[in-house]
Amino acid sequence: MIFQSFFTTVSNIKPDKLAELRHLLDNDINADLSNNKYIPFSKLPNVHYCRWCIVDSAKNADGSDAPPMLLFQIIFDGKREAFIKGFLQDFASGIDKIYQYCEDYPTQPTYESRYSYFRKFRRKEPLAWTAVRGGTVEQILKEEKLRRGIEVFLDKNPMQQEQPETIQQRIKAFVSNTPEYQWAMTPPSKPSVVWKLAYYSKLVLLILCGIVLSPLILVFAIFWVLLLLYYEKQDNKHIMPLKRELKPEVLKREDLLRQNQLTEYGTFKGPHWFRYTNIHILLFVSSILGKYKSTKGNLGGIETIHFVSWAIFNKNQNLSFLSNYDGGWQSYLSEFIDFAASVMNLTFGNIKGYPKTRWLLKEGAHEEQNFKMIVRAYQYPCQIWYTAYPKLRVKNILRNAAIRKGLSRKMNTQQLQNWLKLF
Amino acid sequence: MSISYYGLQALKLSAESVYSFDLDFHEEGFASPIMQNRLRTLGDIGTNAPENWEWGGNDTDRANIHLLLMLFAKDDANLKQLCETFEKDFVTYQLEQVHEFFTSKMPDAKEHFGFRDSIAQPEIEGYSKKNASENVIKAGEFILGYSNEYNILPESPYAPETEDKKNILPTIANKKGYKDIGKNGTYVVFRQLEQDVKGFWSFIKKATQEVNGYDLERLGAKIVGRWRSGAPITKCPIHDNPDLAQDNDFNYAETDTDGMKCPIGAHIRRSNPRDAFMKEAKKSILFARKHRLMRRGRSYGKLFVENFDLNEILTKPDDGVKRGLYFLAVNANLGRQFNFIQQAWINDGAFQGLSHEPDVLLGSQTEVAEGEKTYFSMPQMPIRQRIETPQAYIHVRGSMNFFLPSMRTLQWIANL
Repeated sequence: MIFQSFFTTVSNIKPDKLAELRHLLDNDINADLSNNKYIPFSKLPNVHYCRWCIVDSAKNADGSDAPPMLLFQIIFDGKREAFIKGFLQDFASGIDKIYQYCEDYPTQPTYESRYSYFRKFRRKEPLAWTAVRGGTVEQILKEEKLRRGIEVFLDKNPMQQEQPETIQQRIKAFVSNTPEYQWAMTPPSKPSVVWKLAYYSKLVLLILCGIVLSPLILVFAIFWVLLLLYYEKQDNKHIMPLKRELKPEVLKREDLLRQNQLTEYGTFKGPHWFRYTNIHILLFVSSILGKYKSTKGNLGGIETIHFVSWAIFNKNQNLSFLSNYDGGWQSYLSEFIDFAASVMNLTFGNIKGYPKTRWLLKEGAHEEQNFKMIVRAYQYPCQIWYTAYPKLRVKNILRNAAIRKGLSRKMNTQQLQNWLKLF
Repeated sequence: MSISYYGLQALKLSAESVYSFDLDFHEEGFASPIMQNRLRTLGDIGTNAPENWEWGGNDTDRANIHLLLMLFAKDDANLKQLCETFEKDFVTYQLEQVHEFFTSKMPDAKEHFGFRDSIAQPEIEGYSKKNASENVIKAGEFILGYSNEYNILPESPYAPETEDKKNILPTIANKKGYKDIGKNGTYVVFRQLEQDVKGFWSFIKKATQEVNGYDLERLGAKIVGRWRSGAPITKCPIHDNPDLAQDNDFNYAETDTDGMKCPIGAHIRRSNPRDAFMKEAKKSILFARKHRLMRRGRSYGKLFVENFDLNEILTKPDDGVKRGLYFLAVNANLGRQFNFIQQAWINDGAFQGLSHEPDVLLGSQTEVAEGEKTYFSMPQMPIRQRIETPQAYIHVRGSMNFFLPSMRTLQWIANL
């Protein structure tokens, strides 16, 4: 089984080259994502999502302007190092074209210096979550084609009078007799025993650590919550007023497809060490939950996220939230507010300008319009955003995978009935 | 009487006050990213695009629309008299009537396709006789100045105290030095939807031949979610039951999870998924309550066929008469209510995991424009049936949002 990986970098842009970089990204690359001469995404069949985003109005912790930065994230199938090495080699001229506008990029880039630049400016994501673990781009696209094929077969061959078993047999016969779909009769690959062993032993280890250290954790947690409550009181005294606005640059790029991206970027509140530690604790706990609990395309009640990650940049002064999601901004934000407002308070609550919270969990994101306003205020337009399957939702992907699985799985009557309901 | 965004400017509200209105109420020229995004999200593209509108479809015409006046009277004679009175006032006060919309009385509250309309309306808490029904919604979802479903006050437009020297407006919570323009007012979405009656039923007729076991009435009912009488198909899936004509007391999660009776993609199920939007019914209801509209539509144009007889509709040649619905919806938060419903539930071909199934009645044609085929599927045992839905039979012919002010705010504006 192949797993997906994230790779995120943040570079400082040479301030006098900002306009040129913007032009390159907006006009030369974004105008034709598939076949532009720099980064032609049609030649990147293993890439799920990719974005380049100019962050030009972030603030440092002391309130001064942060330098303009270029945020890059690519999500792909396979091992990180091998992919990035290949990517930097195959698209060297495009990469050089973009990064010549960034500070510290080698003037005469070589294969090695390019790679070491990207390694140097890489920012590890403390939390990176994937909705469909192990669903490669190839598999996602093929399974969609398969579903479409079977649906058309069903349209042409009405079988309302048949028994479920007969329908199943006929679908199977159709799939195995169509060369294009034959692959689907073999079951999808499963995680290896080694992987499973590592996965579960890590969980066991975590639980054991948790049990052994529980008295310590409890004492620490009480102390930490009290500190949080103290700072909450302080924070509420100085909430920065934010500009309530429609952002044309963001709206211009939104809802062009049936999926959207969100790029949020904020500055930690003070005291800095405390916020930084706090977010690390929260993201660590969330990443465990994300890895072991939210495994079925559902992240805390939200079923529209394909990939989401958090990252910390700019000498640990800024926090970013990057997601690739289904549908429109309004519905995405509404889901956050309705199902995960308290989680938003705990995480985004560390960011300057966040609305007032009470007892850490209350108010904040529960104040719908206020919360949407702050999300917009800290949202950056993405000059380049690529998705490999713009027409598919998480739910579609999961359904397609279930259809394919059913072709090679033994099913009892109930399971068969449920499988037929997938069409 | 309600006022458009341009109307607020024409009535000389200060720039700060105008800006304080719901951002989704703000307007710019059609070429602007804001308006382009709005058209995309509402599905106002292709046959629904502004260039095909009868009013408000270009920047000049749109900027001239300032007020929407709705006149109600008990009969035609009274209405005529009322109109004449106003027309005289228009001259006196130098108002120009830019568009006029005549409505028609429809038998049994039906719309032109013959379906009883306006059955599922939310009831307002404190105003309704029922106390704790899931259909009783907080007042703040529909009227500014009251608590909404999040138990907070919806954002309300405001004016600096200095602009209210006569002290007409009420004060606004949490905003010192400002007065509340919005209290007891709300936003009205006004859309003209033209209906192609013959086209719609001819499409259904053709579709009945593609599937087994459906006649015109039943297939139409599957698409809408109600029989033409109004009876919900989730309660009477096989045959119409006119006794249930105005029934709104039903849910889906327990008795119709998979949409075997009322398909997931049926118009009424997707415009209000009730307890079946998510696996957990309670969560679903809480979510759905935040996306409700109070609809007050009015039909226009002569009936294509009296009594809505389907055979006659199919045989009679098209008469070329324009007919449809003036869709009017009241909500306190345009983005979360009307815009959300239109984008996430009506237009979205992947609503609840469906594939390429925008609403047959009002869904956008975005996917068709992209070269995709669109469908409507009807889950059933042992296997679903589905039909192709190649085009729309309801077309947007005008769309604009208005602010419906309170009497006090009107008085304040009159004194500006």
